[in-house]
Amino acid sequence: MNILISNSSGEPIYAQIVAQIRQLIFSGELEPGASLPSIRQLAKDLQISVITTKRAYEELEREGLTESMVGRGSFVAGVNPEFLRERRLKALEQMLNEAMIEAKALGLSQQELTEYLTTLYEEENRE
Amino acid sequence: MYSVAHLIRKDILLVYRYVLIVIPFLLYMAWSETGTLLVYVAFPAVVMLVTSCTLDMQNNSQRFTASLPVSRSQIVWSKYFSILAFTLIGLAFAGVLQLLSMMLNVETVAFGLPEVGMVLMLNLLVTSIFLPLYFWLGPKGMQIVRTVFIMLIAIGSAVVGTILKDYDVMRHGIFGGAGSAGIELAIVAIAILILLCLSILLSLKLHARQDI
Amino acid sequence: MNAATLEGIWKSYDSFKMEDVNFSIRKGYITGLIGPNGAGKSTLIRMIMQMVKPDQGHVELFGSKLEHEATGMRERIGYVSDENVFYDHLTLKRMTNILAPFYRNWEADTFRDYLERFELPENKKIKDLSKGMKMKFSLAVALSHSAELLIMDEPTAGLDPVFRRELLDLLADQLQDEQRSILFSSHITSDLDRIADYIVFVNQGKLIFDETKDEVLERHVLVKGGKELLDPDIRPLFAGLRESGVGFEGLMTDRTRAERIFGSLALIEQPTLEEIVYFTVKGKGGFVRV
Repeated sequence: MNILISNSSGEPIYAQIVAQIRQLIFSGELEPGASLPSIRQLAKDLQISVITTKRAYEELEREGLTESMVGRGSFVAGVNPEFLRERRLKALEQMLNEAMIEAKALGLSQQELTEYLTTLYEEENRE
Repeated sequence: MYSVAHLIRKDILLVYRYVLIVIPFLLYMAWSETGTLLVYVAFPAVVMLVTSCTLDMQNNSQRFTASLPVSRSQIVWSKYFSILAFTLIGLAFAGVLQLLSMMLNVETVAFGLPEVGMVLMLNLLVTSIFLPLYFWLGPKGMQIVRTVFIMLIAIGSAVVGTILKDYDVMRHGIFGGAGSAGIELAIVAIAILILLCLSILLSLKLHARQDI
Repeated sequence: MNAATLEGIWKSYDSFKMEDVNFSIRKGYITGLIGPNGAGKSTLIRMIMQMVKPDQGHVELFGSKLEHEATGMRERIGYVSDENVFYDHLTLKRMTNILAPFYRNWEADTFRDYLERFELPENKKIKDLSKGMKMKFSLAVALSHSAELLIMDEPTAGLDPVFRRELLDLLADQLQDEQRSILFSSHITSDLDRIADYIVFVNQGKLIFDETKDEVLERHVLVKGGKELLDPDIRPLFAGLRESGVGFEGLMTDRTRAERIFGSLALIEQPTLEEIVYFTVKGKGGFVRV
């Protein structure tokens, strides 16, 4: 398992950890039941604060991706990654819905909104 | 109590190297018959105490002692006990010297119990004055106190030594005729002991509230 | 639970005053005590060591209030001073020989390991060691009597960058069992800040904050913009401000407020810990007192 922290990305360190472990779970590299390194071990390996690591683990648990057992550390939750993906897609749908409502309120057409999204994609890719 | 013993051990280990430097001087003093027991026992013992105190002051080493699991009062007591230890070491050294001289048939200044008592009293007197000053002044005033003390003790012990040698005060007393020496000595001894008690109390009080 | 708590600490010297300082060292975590030179960091540390007595307020160690001198507490603390406190004319070997018997839990094997790991020459005199070496020796001693609290006053001064990084791993090792706590102080932001969980910031004898590092970083923002934005209503909102011919940079302690006020009018950035210290010490004008 690899986790790489960037100090120059501007993204909070805990969020980087969450994003990378989440990715590892979705890609199947971390299978259900796989144990994560202990909070203090990961903090040591990444040379970051214990509290930051703890916060990342709490976030993962809140998302339902991991479970923790007292004295035994954290594990990848036994749920199907497909199911989790499904759940995040649902969340995405909700956000898109909100965007659509806001676009209507601003008087944007469907095409204009789509173009707007395309532009955002292009900008992201350029970066 | 173990802590006090460790503190005394610390002081002895600290200064023993300095004593090695003084030994040739002492041998010369002893065998050239210019010195007395007072010079070669009292003087080094006080020098050892003053040196150990000075070393504590240098490089913030007082802070080293203060960081150890020992109390302030144990630090104070250890300093008073260490003068006893240093005097004992000095006496042992003098004893060895005496034996050596007897074996080699070299003439030296002989000494007995009264002289030993005098040495002890003199050292306690000096310590009683020195340690409260040390605990009071701290590193700032230490240099002055140290210099004055070494000078005082050097001159003092030489003078006292000469008086003792020339007038044989130990047997006849300073003022009176035969027999009064005992009473005079007893009064002096009691005075010094009272001074010592006051000195210890003062040092304990001074060091307890000092910021290090 | 806290390894140490300082409550309502007041202390005055001729030219320095400490006013109502409160902070804690949380058990199991690393706390960084930061602030410019002369802020009072060493004095606070010496109060925890019972070397300095506060005029008012009190120190709590391992859950009990220090009323009388508690020498046993020092057994449980590993102390690394900001200056060499060992006897200069002694060799490391002799110095160790002097200090080891004072500790009931002295671990000769652990100490030997550290000597080797730190490449400390046992037969060399302390005065012949570099500043970094003296610090390493002090650290080896502090880590060799199963102390629960490690206190290091300006440990990174004199250490080379390579060892500073190694120190991070060494300290993280200490924290693995969740039972030990660490306090370090520094006047420059250092590598140690990377692993600090809590930051206690003092300036001119006053506490600025005692928070988790994440909170500190999240709540502060660095605002950069044109000078026309600096009207008399806006100015007081900054904890520190630097103006130049081409604009201003200012530190604000409330992110949401900053975003509400400036929106897209100014650049809003994430400051580093170093910038937070710099701007807070600098204040709203003049030069930084270092």
